[in-house]
Amino acid sequence: MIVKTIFKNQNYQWLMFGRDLDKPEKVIDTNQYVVNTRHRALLIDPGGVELFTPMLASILKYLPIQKITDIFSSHQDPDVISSLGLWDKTIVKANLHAPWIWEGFIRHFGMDRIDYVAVPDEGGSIELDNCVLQIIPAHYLHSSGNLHLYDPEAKILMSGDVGAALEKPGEPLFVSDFDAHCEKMKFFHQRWMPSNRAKQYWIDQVRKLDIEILAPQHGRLFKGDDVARFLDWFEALQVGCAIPFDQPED
Amino acid sequence: MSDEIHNIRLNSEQFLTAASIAAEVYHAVNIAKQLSFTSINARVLAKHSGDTVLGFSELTKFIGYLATYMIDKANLINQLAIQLTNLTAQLYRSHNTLDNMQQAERKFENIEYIDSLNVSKQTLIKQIQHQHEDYQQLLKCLKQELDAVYRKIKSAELIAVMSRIETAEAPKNSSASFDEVANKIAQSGDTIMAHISRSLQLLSAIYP
Repeated sequence: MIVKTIFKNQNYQWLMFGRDLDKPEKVIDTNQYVVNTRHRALLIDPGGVELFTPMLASILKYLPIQKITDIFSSHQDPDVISSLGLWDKTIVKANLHAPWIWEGFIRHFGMDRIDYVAVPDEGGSIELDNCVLQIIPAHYLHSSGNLHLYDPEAKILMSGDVGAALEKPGEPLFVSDFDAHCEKMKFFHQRWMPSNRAKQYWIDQVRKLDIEILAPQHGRLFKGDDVARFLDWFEALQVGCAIPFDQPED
Repeated sequence: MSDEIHNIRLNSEQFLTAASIAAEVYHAVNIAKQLSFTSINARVLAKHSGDTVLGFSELTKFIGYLATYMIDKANLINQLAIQLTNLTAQLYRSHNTLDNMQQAERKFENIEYIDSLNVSKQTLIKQIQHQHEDYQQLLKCLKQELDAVYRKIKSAELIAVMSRIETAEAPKNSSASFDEVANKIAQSGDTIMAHISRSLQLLSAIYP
């Protein structure tokens, strides 16, 4: 599994974990993130059961397990959080920040020691030492209770499935040719995202943020001008393609 | 300590056993419920047949008691089986986590903070040992309850024989009905016994 520092200052760092070449072939590749501050660490979308061992080994190369005090789950999908039952037995004590509507569902993955912090629909924040991360609502993108995480200091938006692409294993971490990358994102967004109205609302909110890196849960990350390019591309894309496009949305 | 943990490993048989026992007991309870109705009907029949079948009437009371006993015990056994299934799942998750921790140690190199896992590992090992003790205790309770039910149902065989003797005294116009009751008691007893025997057999595979 590749680990890349995508932001670092004197107080904290953002680590990205992914491109695990040993993962089972039919398991979708995922990006996991850790925000590592002086005394604490936040594990973002920790991934599925199949990924637990390489994730654990990779994290322990950078920080002791006791530092993980918080976990963030953007939504309830198994590729995002099905490893929870294993983390629950590994982490000494932690809070899981996740959409309130999924509490009863996510608990099926097994939670004894970890506490569920039910994030309301309007979002919230997570404080780690002096680092404050904003929880941004992204409902219906694709999950009906979906959250993203924005760090105003690092200017990183962890965008869950928004910006995701289905790619071959071992692809580079960052988008280098935006136009070529669009083809890899198109079907994913058209099929997995259900609502054009939700999409437009999210774009309007996110355009107000100062973003240097857009970090999705699958595929490559967007940096610099590619962030705005992505928002324009996404705005123009009709989503919900499993229903014929001539059907009205509301 | 870690080797001891590996000796108490779970297999798929253990996952299935508790659920299979619960299923067997469920079938036995359905028969017991039918037996309960049979005993009520038999009591009415005996009442209408007069003094010649007084002995039969007494037997129906015992059959009713036996059916109620069976239903109550089955509820208890079912609860134990559910607890056992839950505990088996917990044990599986604990073992799985420990395996993953040990794999992380073995498979990957240069893990600077690997020692930070020690506290979690020790806690997990203790938890597995406690869970295993609880698991053994539950198996013991389950065995005791099934044995008790088995012994009690065994007495149904005797009742079946006695009910046949008593039906011989019944008036000719109702003897066919008494025969039918006696047959039902015998059949029900045999079927319940078969389900309980299978439960004990299943249990013996994981609790010799």
